[in-house]
Amino acid sequence: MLAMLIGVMVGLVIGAIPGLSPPMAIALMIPVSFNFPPETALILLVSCFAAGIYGGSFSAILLRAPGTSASAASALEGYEMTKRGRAIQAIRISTFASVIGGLISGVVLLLLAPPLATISLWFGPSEYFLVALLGLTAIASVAFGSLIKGLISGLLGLFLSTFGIDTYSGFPRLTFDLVGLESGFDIMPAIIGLFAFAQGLELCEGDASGNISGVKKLSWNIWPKVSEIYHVRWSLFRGWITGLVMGIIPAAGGSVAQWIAYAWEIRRAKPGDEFGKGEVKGLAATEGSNNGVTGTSLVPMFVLGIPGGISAAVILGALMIHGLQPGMRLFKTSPEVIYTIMWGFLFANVIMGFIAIFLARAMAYLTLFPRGIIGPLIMIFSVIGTYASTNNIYEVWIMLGFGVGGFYLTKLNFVPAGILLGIILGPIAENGLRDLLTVSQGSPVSFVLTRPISVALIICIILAIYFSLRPKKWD
Amino acid sequence: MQIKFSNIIGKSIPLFGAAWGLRLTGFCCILISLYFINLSLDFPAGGDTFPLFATTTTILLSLFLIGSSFKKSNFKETKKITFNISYNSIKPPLLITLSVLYIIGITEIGYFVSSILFLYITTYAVGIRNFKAITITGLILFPTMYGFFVYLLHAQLPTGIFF
Repeated sequence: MLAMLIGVMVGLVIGAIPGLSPPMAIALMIPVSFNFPPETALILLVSCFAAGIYGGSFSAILLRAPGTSASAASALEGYEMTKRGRAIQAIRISTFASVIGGLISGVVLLLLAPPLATISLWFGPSEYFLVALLGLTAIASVAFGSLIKGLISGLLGLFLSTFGIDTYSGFPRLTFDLVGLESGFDIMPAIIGLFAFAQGLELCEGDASGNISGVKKLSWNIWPKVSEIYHVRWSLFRGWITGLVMGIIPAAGGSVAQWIAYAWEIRRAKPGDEFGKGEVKGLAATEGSNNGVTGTSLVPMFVLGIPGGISAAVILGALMIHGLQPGMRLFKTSPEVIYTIMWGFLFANVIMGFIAIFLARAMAYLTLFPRGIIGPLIMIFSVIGTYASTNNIYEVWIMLGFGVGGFYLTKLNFVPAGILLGIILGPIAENGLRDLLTVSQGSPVSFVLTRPISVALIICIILAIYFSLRPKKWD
Repeated sequence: MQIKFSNIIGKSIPLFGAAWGLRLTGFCCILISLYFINLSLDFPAGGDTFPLFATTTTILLSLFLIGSSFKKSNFKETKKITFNISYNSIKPPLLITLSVLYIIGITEIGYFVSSILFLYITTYAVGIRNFKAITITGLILFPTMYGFFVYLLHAQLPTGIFF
């Protein structure tokens, strides 16, 4: 219980700070975990992971400064709700979606880990490429206002993702002989710049003496209402399903799942829905998906020893440090350890909900501060957070570049979310395509058509494009 | 006609219509894309596929963007791109300049002094005069941040002449 509490608290706080990610929180907890037996140590780390993903949503909703890459999409609708004085409602929905999403994901992990792990083995280069394409179709949905500018934003993100040394040939691409550019653009400075720093600048514009939410008093009603959950029930369901499925796919994770869930929601929008202006359904879907990922992303790690993402990779390292060898043998030789960890993950989600809802209420007071104070503080956090997470002043300059670019491109109706989506999905799509061309020996189409999951993904992509381009029923 | 500077401060000067703004944006996108196409042409082992795909598609979309600017129904005649000389319009460039100085400052002067100066100057620049609140915020926040990052997370914060 103590390990869970420590893990949840550290995860929530670190996740909420732009620049500090769940993998960093987990890595920081590894030395602490040495004081506990293996199962307790691993409970500490998985609690930290689940809470870290959720913690990122606080700053995304309240300040439009996502703490993690998995909560960037929540900033779109969540912050709009905050601006309209509905911060507490946004937190309520976010907490419900995250806790239940984490619980469902935990139950799936507990009951179906071995069979689901085999599904992740079916994913090859063609599937990775097509998953990335499916994610890229979300750009068309998040481009409120101008579809062409949204697509150009996505292409800009794709293009930026190609900077740095080409992992296939070792050739430096577009580095301009700068050593710092050789590793390309990291996702974290891009997120902090495009969302947090640009938001700091935006808050300082115009009359900065008013507050973000436009209200003087916050509601104290922190418990979710049945009626509002009922209103978003299908959005939650779609978000959870997206999260569960995307979690199983190595390298996809919450960063991709949230955008697919959000785009799915927009495509199903009805007259009266206000996407882009604080639509609660959009927030429910993104929050459900990013925590729906948490449990299932541990499936390939526990069963096959294949980490599904950076967080899972750090947990995998910790598992081995504690003398546990991941794989099917672990389920046979030490079932008590593995199932204790899984139960611990489930309980951590419940504890996370209780702690988070009180912590979030305190954090919501930030929205009552004058914009002219919050704006510069966000800029300071962006700079210091980026430096602390990378220990490299060069990344701080990159963050500033993204921030200034994001601020002015937004003025020209371009879409920062599209740029971010391009940067996240670019490497997955490019590596997938190049691997596909190699394994298919130059015949990618015939190769793809022989793989059932690829065909299913192609159908999903066609449907996604169709629903994105047909006339919208809402304004 | 002689234009007095004092007469244009705080006023919006109409430059061109929104359609021309769109054309200019599209034209800039095309120029930038062409520059990067030129840089990307010689990447070996298929390394040029993605950069070329992204840039050429951007050119195509920019042409669409320019084309859409000729569709009159997209624009209201009254909508103009304006140039505004006012304090509010120079606030973002001013804050960006201050941020550049802040980033230089944290490595040259140090985290504490630079952060306190940045907070005072930026809040003053955006019109906040509640120095008591700013001082209390700085006094509580910066040592807490330092303790959190350095002692709890064992992350390094930039150090300059001071700390």
